[in-house]
Amino acid sequence: MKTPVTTAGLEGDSGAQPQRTMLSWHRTVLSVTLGTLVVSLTAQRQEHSIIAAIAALAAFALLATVLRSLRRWGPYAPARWDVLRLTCGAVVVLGGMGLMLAMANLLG
Amino acid sequence: MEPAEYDDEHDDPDEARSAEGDDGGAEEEETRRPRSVYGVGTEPDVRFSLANERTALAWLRTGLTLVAGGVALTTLASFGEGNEVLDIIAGMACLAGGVLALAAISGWRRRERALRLGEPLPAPRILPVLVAAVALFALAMAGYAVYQVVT
Repeated sequence: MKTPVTTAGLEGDSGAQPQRTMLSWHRTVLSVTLGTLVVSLTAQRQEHSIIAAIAALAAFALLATVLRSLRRWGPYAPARWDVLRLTCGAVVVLGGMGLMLAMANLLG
Repeated sequence: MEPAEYDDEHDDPDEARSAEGDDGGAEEEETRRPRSVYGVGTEPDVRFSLANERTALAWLRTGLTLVAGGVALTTLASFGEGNEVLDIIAGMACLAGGVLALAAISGWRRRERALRLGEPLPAPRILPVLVAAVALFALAMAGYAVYQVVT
């Protein structure tokens, strides 16, 4: 019978660190998804249908990818870096979309 | 630096994992990315590493808040004519949010490296910038309000 793998250092952990970190991930993913939908709705309201469509599709793709990556998440798992980089990229892209909306509003 | 209730018998994660029969540990260590972080030093207490990850996530959410605030301001600016200032502020907020996200991931790397190398944690580089930006923004808004009252 295979011995279950445990993470060293967490045996006496009274702070529930992995659970807190996972909750933090969930909050972040939820925030990014909602942020993307807000950008999408704002773009739709301002009649920038392409930005709206891209943002909506990005929200769906991001949610699916990150949730899939988070299934492989663990204190020593390689997926930690992938999902962190992906989420960071999503926020940067969102910032770019917001900037585009502001510029379009300003110039239009 | 060692927290209370820490189990001294398991303070070396690699040793503990090999003792538990995890043969893929060394191989997994080789594939962990980024190599600039995981290629140096030794495995730190995982609780510190997880805390570092939560800190990076908190910075990411701060950046996201700036982006969301910028988008909300864009919506507000579109309600009437002559709200160019709001659009400029919205654009700057979105830009700052993106920069903050990049700073979050850069800070995570620096802290994780320091943890692995057993060095003192580096001072946050983005915090003074953020404070200066908020102060400048407050001054600019105060100036704009005075300008609106005078004209």
